[in-house]
Amino acid sequence: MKKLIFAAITLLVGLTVLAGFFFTDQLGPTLTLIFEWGLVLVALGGLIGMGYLAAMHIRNIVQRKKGWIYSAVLLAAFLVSMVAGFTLSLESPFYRDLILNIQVPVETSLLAILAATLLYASLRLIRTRGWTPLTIAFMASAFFSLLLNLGLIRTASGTLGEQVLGFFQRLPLVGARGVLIGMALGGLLMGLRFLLSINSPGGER
Amino acid sequence: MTWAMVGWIIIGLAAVCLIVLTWVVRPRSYALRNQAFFRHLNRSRTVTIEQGRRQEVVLGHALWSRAYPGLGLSSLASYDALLDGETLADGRQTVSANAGILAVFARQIIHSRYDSGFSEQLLSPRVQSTVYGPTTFSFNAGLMSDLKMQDYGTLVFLGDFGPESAISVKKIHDQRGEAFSAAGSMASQAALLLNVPDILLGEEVFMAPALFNPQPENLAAVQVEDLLRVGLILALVVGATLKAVGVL
Repeated sequence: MKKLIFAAITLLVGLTVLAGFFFTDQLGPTLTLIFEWGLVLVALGGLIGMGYLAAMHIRNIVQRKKGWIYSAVLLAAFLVSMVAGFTLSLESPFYRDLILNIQVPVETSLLAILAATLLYASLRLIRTRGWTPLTIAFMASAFFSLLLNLGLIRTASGTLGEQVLGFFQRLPLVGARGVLIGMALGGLLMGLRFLLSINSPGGER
Repeated sequence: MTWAMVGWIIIGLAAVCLIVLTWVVRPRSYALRNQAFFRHLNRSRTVTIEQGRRQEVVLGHALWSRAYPGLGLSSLASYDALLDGETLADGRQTVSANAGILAVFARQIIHSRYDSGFSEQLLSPRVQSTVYGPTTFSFNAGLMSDLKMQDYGTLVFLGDFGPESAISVKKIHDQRGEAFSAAGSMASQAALLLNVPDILLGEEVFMAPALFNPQPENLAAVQVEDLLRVGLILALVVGATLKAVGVL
């Protein structure tokens, strides 16, 4: 019974949103209302997520789990940021300096780690995956893309060479489009499965 | 005929095929690609449970995004199919997400499974859902920290990620664990391809629920996806040929 009610509501809302694309004038206000409700629910989900985060770290501290001191630091920083966010406005230069002067350098350092990790992983690609058509194609295409985009190879305009070069420069884009078309079809099917209540986000059966 | 109309025809066709195959035909078997991915993942999860180690399932950064709208839902459908009885009884699994709403839905999935087959009084360790951080990088920092603090044997990526997910893979490898990826965005696939041997690429990501749990409704969705893809390929070839000969 619970599943039927859930399915009926999902179907009703989903079909209303779909119909809204055809009958924009008639269903425009209803669509706006549905989207606003959706945004409120997603925001509420974000708030609950913050609750999970805090609960996990409080549990770590209470149970004295390994690394509980990091949890204490995180909770202290979380509280300072939250109190500063509530008392000062988001436009306050002090608040922006307080957050951005910590967050941006930390995130940049993670980005640097990512660059090093990717470089290391690409050097170990053959050891990780072996000599397969996929790895050979991946390495060859990466190498040629880099070579072509460096601008070292140049041809006179209006020649066959220019057309051939243009073809190879467009090739990664063609591949990306192919992948994206496949993913769009997969996404479409996934959306329909939830709309028709074949799947439900909460896993009700 | 406008492109919007073509789009609606494809959506309508997909809906009709899905309804017919799911509730009328109900396919019992279908030759799925990438069975090796599921075999390796299953083996890794079994070993992880037997060794008393933990499993980590990450559901991605967003329930919905403009570039990849179906990936958040795909991660939930895959997780629903992945959560089996052994894992529920073992309880040593953490499911995390960058978006709070994904963690809420994951918790709902876990609760509905425990409610349908287990006595909560008998099971003290339970599968946990959590959010490691509100931003992409803070989430990764939290995930890496947890991977280091606790003994994880299997790490599974499902859903929408960026290239930064590759950092966590390095961490699980350092712990002698295994990583598996059914992550959807092209940036994450390119980054994860480098250091994750078992990876689903492109549209294969949406096949994950059928690989994990080959029930008729999951097989029907894969079958419809394949039919649509073949139709689209034919349409592209015919369209290109007609354009080449000057008809279009």
